[in-house]
Amino acid sequence: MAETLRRHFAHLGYISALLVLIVIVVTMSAVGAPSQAPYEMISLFTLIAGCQLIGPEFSKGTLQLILSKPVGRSTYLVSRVAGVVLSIWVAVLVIFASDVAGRIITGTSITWRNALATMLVAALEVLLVCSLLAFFGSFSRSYVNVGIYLGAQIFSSMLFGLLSMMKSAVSGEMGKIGALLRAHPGFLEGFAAVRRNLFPDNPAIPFDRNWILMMLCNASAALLLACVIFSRREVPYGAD
Amino acid sequence: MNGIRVEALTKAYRPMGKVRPVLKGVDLTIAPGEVVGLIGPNGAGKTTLMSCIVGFLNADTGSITIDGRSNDDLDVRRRTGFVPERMNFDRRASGGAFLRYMARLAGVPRDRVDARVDELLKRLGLTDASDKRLSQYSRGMLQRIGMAQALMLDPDFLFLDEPTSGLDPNGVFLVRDLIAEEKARGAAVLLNSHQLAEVEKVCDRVLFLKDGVISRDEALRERAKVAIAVTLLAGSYDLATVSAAVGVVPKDDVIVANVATEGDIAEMVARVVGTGAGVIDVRRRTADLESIFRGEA
Repeated sequence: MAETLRRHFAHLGYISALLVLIVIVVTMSAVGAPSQAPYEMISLFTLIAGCQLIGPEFSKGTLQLILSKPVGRSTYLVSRVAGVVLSIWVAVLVIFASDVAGRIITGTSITWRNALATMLVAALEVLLVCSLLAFFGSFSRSYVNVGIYLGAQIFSSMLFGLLSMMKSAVSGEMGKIGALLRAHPGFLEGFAAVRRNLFPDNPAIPFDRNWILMMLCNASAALLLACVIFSRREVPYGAD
Repeated sequence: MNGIRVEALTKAYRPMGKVRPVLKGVDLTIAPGEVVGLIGPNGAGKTTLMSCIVGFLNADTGSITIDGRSNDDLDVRRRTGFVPERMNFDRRASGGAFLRYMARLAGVPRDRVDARVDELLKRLGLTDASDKRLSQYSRGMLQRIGMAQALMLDPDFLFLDEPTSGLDPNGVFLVRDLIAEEKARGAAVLLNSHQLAEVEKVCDRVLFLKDGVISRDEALRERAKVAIAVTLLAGSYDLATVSAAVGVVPKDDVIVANVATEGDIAEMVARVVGTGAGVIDVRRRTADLESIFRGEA
């Protein structure tokens, strides 16, 4: 974990991104933009940092060197995820602090409860996305984990929209599928539940306990699955 | 302490669902204090075999035990050193920082990390390069720092994949000395190398891997396997008489035979001289790896 943090903090791209974030957030809060707006950038930050969770280590051959040491694979994976999550949480904190500072400097009002709740939502989303990226990375190659994550998000949302449309169709081939979906409402409900769990919307109320619990449970489940798969995964190196 | 034992190991790759067997029943043992070389043509499965033993790849069937335990046992891993052919790591890290990280992963107590890293840097001749970034290291320096990380905890089991590749003669001598030191300490060493002369110099035994099986297991230091070459003065001997006396037919005026003890060497020379043949040279020869390789490959 410490090594992952060191690599991030020593990376010029990371430091530059933090500085750019500070400038943008202070500017946004100065013009009275809503507190959650700057956190949208964290999604991009998470995807960039998260794509390097395991994948590139395979390509570089670093992983073999690490796994030849007395370190459990699960320990390694969890500490990698923890390192990446912590480094993004630093960015989340920077956004929060910059937002508060910007509002204080310009005299814009702060709703502390909302500001803190928004920061918590962003932090938990980072945790879930990183855990999912670790899960997708545990069986795929370099950078593919992000592709799978984005692909699943886009595909599931398109499919859900299509199925919802079909559900109300009454004639033709679409009508047959619609009838099937109406006869088995559990299918669409189950699909929606999976989508909600993998790609959750923001909670309707601040500090929603159920939402927080769902995020923590889903992140733990994704990480647990990632550890199980990764502990059996082969890490070939070199060539004969 | 037990050594490394591999029994009936098989491993196949399955690219696009197509089965490509690489190891087809490999058996090997390496005793503590023994240096074993692994040679064979490209594609024979040497890296796959080493990867299975170190635990990077899962064997399909068969068993691998190190000191009687599974190869993925963390205690075994603590006593294992591995040197990859190419050292890959964050190139922005300095050599010293890299070794400190490896020391922490290896479980070196915090208060001993710096001292141990300095020791290894000195031993590998990298003290002056400690603060240099790995990106500024030459291939040979990377090989040496790879060797340093493997020796972090004085391993009982050492796996070396082409450790001298890219090294200058001084680097080669250094690695040779290190292997000798590890052997003297009682470490079991498996050396995967294409450099036959190097294997011949440092190994006690060599395994020839061909088509996924150990096709030859040749002892290089065992006396019984040591050949002698007795060169005869041309025209000074009768071929049939000498052949009958020593049981070997001279070829190009040279008798090549295997003997068990040094006493046998003297006895054989006496028998040759007894036939009236003129002996102009007697040499002990270790098994010639190049001819083994040519014969097997």
